Amino acid sequence: MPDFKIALRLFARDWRSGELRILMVSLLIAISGLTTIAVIVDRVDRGMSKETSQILGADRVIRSPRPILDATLKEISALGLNRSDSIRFRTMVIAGNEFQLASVRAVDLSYPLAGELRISDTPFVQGKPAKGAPTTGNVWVSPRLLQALNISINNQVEIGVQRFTISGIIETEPGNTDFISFAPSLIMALSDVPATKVIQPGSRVAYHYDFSGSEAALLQFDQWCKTALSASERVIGAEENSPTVQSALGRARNYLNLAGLLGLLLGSVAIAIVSNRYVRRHFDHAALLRCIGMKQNHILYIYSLVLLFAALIGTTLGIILGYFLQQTAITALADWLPEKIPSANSGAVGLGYIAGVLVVAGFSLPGLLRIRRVTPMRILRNDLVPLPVSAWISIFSAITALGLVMWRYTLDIKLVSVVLLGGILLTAVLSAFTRLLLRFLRKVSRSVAMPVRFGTGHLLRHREATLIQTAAFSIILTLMLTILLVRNELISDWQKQLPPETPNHFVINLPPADTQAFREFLLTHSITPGEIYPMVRGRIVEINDKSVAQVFGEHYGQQHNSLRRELNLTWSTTLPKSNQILQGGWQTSNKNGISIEQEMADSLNLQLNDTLTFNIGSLTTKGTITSIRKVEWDSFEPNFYVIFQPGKLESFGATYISSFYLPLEQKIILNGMLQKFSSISILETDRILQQVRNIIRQASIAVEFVLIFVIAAGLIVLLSTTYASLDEKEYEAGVLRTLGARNRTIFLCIISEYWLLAMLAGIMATFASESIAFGLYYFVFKIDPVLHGWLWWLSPIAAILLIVPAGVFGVRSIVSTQPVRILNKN
Amino acid sequence: MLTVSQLCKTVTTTNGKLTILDDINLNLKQGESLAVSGPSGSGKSTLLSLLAGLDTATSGSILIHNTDITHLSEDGRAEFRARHVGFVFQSFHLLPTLTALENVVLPLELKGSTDAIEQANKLLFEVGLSARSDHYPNQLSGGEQQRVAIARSFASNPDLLFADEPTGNLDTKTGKQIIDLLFDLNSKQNTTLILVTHDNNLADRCSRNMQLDSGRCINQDSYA
Repeated sequence: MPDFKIALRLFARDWRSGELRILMVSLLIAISGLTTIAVIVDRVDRGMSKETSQILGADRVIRSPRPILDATLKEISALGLNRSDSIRFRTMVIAGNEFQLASVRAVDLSYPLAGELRISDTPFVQGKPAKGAPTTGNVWVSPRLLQALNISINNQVEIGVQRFTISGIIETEPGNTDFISFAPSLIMALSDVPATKVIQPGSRVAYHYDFSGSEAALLQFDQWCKTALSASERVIGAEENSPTVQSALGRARNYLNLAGLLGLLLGSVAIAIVSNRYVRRHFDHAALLRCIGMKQNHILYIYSLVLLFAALIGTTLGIILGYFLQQTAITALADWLPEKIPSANSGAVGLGYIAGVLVVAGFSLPGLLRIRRVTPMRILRNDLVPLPVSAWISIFSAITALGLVMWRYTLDIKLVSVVLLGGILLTAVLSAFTRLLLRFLRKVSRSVAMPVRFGTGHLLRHREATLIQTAAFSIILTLMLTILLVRNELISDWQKQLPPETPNHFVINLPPADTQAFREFLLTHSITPGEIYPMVRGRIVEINDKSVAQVFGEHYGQQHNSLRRELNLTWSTTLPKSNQILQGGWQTSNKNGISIEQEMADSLNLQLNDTLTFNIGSLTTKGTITSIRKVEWDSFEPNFYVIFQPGKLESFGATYISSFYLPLEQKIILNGMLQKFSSISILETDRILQQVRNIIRQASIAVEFVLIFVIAAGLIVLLSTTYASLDEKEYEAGVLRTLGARNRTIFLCIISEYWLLAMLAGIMATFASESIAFGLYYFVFKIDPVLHGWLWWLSPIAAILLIVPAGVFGVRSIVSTQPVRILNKN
Repeated sequence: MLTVSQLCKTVTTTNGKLTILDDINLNLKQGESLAVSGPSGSGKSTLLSLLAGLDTATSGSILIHNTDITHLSEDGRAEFRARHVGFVFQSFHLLPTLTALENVVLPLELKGSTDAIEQANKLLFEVGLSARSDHYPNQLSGGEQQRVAIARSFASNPDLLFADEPTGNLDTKTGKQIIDLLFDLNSKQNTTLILVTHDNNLADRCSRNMQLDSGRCINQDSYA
């Protein structure tokens, strides 16, 4: 207990004298940075997830072939979620002599739980927001159904045995992302369904239960689903529903997490340096305590307590500042972020404390062990500096601390191992490289002016300190550059993924004879036609001449989507734009050759030269796999699981599919298109595309903000790093000044030293950030790695521009202090 | 060559103004040596700092070679020191990252000498440390470090040499060697020496004496 009191008193004294100030400031930066980023990432991520629910029309949907039991629904109600029920089926809709298969959605009054339902009076024009179902006896229909039945608003249609009036035309309907059904949609009231008598035992009906609610309730719901749902009931989350959003969100999330992690590393560098400085400056004090009879372990205990107090206070302040910063950022960015940003939860507080205490502990342990070894003789002989502890202990304790914090942050042991191992390897290579550069520097520095030689000499003589400082600077720069590089690549990749003229309309059922006329129609309206692909619907029935049931068992449908339903098969001489061959070759002499999609191949264990048998109508046809393709499903272009060689499918009577970009102001031409090509169906994806773009834009904003924050944090850490070497510089400047050096000479010495350090760090950082970015692109973001030529000259320049002023700013007080004060201090 | 008139130094503390030096007057000729003595806290080191331009006075003037250094800027004083002043400190103040030779070379380089290394080697020879010119301060004994500091102080061929308790950190025998060396070089180069010391024997070796108490001069020989 007396030790505790001594520690408390020592802490109070150091607090008053400012000794602990830099450590606190570094903790404040590291922890507020981590907290800000962690909370923003979490809130924006949750906000973006909420936004994606607009596309699905709900946060979660349970789809089931049978009505879910009331008891089960009651269990869900207990979780406190809002619910909207609907059933979906296909049925023939009749108007006079015209028939059309329609995809019917019978909804209750709560529809939609998310997103906007818009109903208009005229096809393809802006409608008004609507809520719930049409009133009894009325239906809303899609423009395609109107056109197919050749009717207009207020006309009547028959569904089963009941007549309905068309009271509105659907402009957008949340939850209708089912491109596969292709049947034009119709919305009716759930309560009207029994009267139609279309649903009979054995009818194919999908019961949809939409849910939305608080995150906590949804989390409980997800847990509940894992155990409570039967095999035929499927849960769909907002993201699963949209591959583009999923991949964009996934990448944004990875990026933001990475930024948080790198922010933490930045802070750790500062904490490592300043906690060591603190310990070094207390050798005398420790020697005095030893002199008056304190044991080594007491010294260790007391200083550990002092640093623990500092860690706790610094962390608390950091967390408070972090919460304030993230709230300010979210408020400032409100216009660009998702509309409904969930409030911050308290998870980041725990993370902050764990990070603060662990990092201080891990990085100051070597220093603490050293202070434990201070000999009381130091009181008499000031030059008796305790030996540093083994480098292995320092490295081990730092890595353990970082590893634990990173693991707590990401909960991904693989990612943490990769980052740490990569980091160690990189540090080893870089320090070897720095040693080489220093040796080179020694050779060339002999013939330069005195201040430069003095600066260089200083670096060369303090080789270990130079290595540490170069490492610190290059780590800081590397982190900043990596974040910048990845951000550039991510954003340009997103832009590439959905360029401004991404096709936003699909046309299907185009007869072969009309393909040329269709192309011309688009061209006359100044619209660029997309590729036109033939399409034949077929089901996989055999793999290598064994039925799919034989290969995968009765529940083969669970193996992959491609076994559950009929596939759109096509043939083509050229490889579609958004496809890439992974195995085999596109060109083949095998007339039966087929090219299949990679995920399907993986799920069904298909290899090159395997054969697939397809059922098309009442006929079958076989194909041998000659290539496996990667397909960008989120390209908004027609994509196919299976592509045949020309000549194989033509006899099956194909229709054609195409996509094109149509600006909003030209939407009206769709009416003319439908009149001219009466058999076609048009799928509008422009609304979804717009939503996807919104989400990507928000993710980009979040990424930009985090980039700025990391750079700002990096600059502050740079300053505190230079501040840590202030004592020594002050003393040297004091002696130089006493010997008659002018301020200019001292400045030149300092500038040339920082200039060299910056050059070294800049070169290291370029090398390191290229390597890290390469790894990240390849393994994490799954985008093609590229080398950045500009980085190799920009990085050293940026390093000089950042480090030299930071260094000069850090040591500026030297110039304004009387030399006698500096000398008296020592 | 050195004339000090009505020199005062006060500092502001939490308890109000504190006078460290009060109305100091002094006149020294080239080649003379002055011992400044007095109890701890009497203002000896402050006087030395002011005379060397390491600190600024509150009032009064310090004329060295007809230049009032109290009117010079920080850089002006630095330049003045480079040309006219040498130092020997109680705690040596050698730069730990430079070798003995490099420490001696430093003031010569600052002065722009072209044969800095040659001169520095000569000075190290004079103080008997030729064999140790490549050693770093922490590889030298206290006496050896002080000898390097003396070599450094004479390197710029100063008119004025300030020594602040130069033997304070050394044993009697080494201290005596150092003092002999100091006075020897002093007479060879005809330097004006101002020495702060507690040691009466040492004070007696100087041609002039000044005693301070509580910032005031209580005893000074008749030249003032």
